[in-house]
Amino acid sequence: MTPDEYLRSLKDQLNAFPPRERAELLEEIASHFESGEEDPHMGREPEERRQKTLAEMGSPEQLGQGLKKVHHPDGWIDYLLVIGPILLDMAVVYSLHLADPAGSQAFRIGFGLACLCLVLIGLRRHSNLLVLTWIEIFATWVISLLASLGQFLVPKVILDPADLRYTMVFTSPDALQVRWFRGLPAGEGIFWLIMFAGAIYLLGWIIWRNRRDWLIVSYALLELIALAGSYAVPLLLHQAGWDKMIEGVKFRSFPAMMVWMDLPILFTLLGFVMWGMLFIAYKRPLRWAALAGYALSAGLQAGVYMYRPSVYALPEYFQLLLLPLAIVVVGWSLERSKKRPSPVIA
Amino acid sequence: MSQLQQLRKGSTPLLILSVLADEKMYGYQIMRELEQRSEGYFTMTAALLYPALHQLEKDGLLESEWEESPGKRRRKYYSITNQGKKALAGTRADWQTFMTNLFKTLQPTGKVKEDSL
Repeated sequence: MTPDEYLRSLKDQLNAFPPRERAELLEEIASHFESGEEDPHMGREPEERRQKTLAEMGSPEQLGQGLKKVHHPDGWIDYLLVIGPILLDMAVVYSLHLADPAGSQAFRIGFGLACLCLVLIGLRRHSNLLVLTWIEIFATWVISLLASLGQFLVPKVILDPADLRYTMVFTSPDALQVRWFRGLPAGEGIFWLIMFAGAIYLLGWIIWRNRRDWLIVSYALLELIALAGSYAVPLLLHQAGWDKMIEGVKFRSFPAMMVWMDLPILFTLLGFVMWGMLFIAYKRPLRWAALAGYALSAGLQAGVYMYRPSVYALPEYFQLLLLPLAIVVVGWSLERSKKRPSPVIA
Repeated sequence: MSQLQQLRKGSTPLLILSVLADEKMYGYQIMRELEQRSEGYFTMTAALLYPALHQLEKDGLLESEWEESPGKRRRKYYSITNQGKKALAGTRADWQTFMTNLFKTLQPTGKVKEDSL
């Protein structure tokens, strides 16, 4: 292999990078070859120096993989694997609004299994963000599903037939009672619970593995803390009953909230854009800004969606609105205040 | 991967930061400097060095700039940041403590010999 062949092969490895970044990486490696070929310690003859330099390079595949692992140039694919299924889910939910309610079980199983498949794809792609996103969508979905079914956490369900958010998948409140409250086969409930336990274990494992990366930890904890907050705030402040907790359970999933049709489109779009920046941006400050923007949009959506003066007093409302952003600010502050950053290569 | 290889890989960021503690260098220069300082013990392929440099830069421990030289390709020089200096000082102290205690523990105590007698 000659240096030119090496660089050509490396260029193929780096094809996921934007052209400018790829050109800079190739230039850096080309200048490495040039330095080796000029170094008298590498041999007397130019060919000898060239071969010695090549021997010290490692394979172009290794180098390309290493650089991709650092820069994640194909973060946009991960983003598409988040945003695509969510948009598809929105379309399915819209269509089910008009469809036969018997289709709901197929939708339920399809949605749950699709989430798990996307978690596996994320693991295969070594993408923490992709895995975390789908674990959390899945986990919050299972909580809301089982809470709605009355088999988990809550003794009963308060129905609001006038509210489209409950009835959009079903033709009538009666059908809702039968299908959701008592209609889940026991085996299916146990299956989702086992999967839920596995997802939470995986979530904990990813947090532990990335415990020095506050950006990942903040993203992972964002929803879990918000979920806990949605229970704690009404309970601690007003000793709210189970019905208010159900409100919390049903509306805590931030990514899932983006699929609801009655949210202000502006916040939803802001969330999508910030999410994209988080996945795609190279620079860390930009990724923190994107995470903050995402948290803010999630809080705004939660705030708008949950704002019911009869249920939440204004202070609670603002806590729920600002909680996600507060988590990100704490994570960012912890990263900034690290006395001794640890140089670790993942 | 053997334990020794893992240990070497784990020490890569520390070695790079140490080499860059005094002056800025480009990738090839860092490789040679590492080799020279360790008398050939720490040799590193470019496939390991460049991702490590980019990771350290991404973590804010290094910064880089391109420099032109007449008649040659421009070179990317890396230098240590203040954050990197703090990281180096802390990690160096950790390694020193680790190595001191490791050697202490590895020293033969003679206890086995006495017992066998």
